[in-house]
Amino acid sequence: MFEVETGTLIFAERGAEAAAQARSPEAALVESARAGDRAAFERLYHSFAPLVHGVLLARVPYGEVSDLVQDVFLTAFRKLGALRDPERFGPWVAIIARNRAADFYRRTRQTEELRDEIAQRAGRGAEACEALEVIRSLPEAYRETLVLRLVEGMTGPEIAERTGLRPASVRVNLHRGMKLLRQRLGVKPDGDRKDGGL
Amino acid sequence: MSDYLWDKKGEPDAEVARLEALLGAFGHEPRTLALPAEATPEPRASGLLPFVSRLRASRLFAPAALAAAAALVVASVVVAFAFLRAQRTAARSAAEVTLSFPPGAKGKKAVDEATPAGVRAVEEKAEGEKVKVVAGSLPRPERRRKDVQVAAAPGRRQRQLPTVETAKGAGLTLEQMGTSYGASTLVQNTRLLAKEQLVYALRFTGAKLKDVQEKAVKDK
Repeated sequence: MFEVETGTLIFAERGAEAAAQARSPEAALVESARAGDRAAFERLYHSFAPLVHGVLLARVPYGEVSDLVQDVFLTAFRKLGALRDPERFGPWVAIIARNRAADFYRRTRQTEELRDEIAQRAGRGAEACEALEVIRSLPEAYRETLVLRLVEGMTGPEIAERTGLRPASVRVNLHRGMKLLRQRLGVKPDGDRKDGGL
Repeated sequence: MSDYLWDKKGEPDAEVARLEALLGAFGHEPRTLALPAEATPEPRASGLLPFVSRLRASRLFAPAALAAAAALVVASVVVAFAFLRAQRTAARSAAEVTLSFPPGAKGKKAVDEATPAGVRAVEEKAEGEKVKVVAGSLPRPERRRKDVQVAAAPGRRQRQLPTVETAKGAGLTLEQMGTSYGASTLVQNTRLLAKEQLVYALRFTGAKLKDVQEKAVKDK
């Protein structure tokens, strides 16, 4: 009995040491930021801002995204103490971003979004805006993954690592979402478009 | 499907590459994070607080709380009902009743004499003080004990036992009242008697009032 308990203790200590050694740089930054290190949090911001930007862009108008990204990171900085596992900063901040996007639609009228969309079309090009709108009309799982891949330029493994999703799920979401996007854009599998454009 | 969509390796998919070029303009543009000077990370909550805060933050908090409250109320009602029912059943099927007698009283003998058909004396723990009686089915132990004590009082059995009319018209002796059926019937009959007495009193008072009124009218 004693030997078993001792063995368990040794195993637990070794596990803790291994965990400390295997801690990711993001987790170390989270611990520093918790202690009040603002520079560490700014590094986290630069590392995870594309993820938050993509999550928000899949849901809210482009013109609102930059301000909301700032809001999300400010909330994350204040509530950093609530993050239980520092290794899961990416999934945690993505959840904050999704909640913030939901809050945005609860507080904002639909007319403001339409006006914003028209302004964006004028600045960015109708074709790109239309493609983004089609992506936004896809189911949520496909929408977010495709925005992170096509807009933010992240690879599949990066998306899985940052969002906390399984790589297999991300792969499935990417392929099914892309298939659906091609159908909605009127693109044939060989790349030809049915109507000659988007 | 090419691997290019997954990890940007292999031969680029023409449509994917075109969409990347088209949508890349919407990508994140690095910007300095503007944290207010007074913003600080809140201290880490300990104990039950993280659980409570997560529960409060959850959108399901209100429905969950309502459902929990409703379940609690239903469970309380069910438990109370079961408890009352079990208590009643236990009282009815009580196997043993301990009777106390003052020292010097002829305990067992009196009980034996007063015990009706459904009641049987089994054990006497302390002679003259405590007698254990096994009963059949009793509605309430206290009532039964009182009835037995009344019946066991010396000198009462020698007198003519009064009878009480039941609802069906059959009379009950005090011996019969010692049984569970008799005990409950005794309470019912007592209530009936009290009610009848009240009705008689009211009638009597009404008649007296009528007489007084008639007398007053005659005097006028």
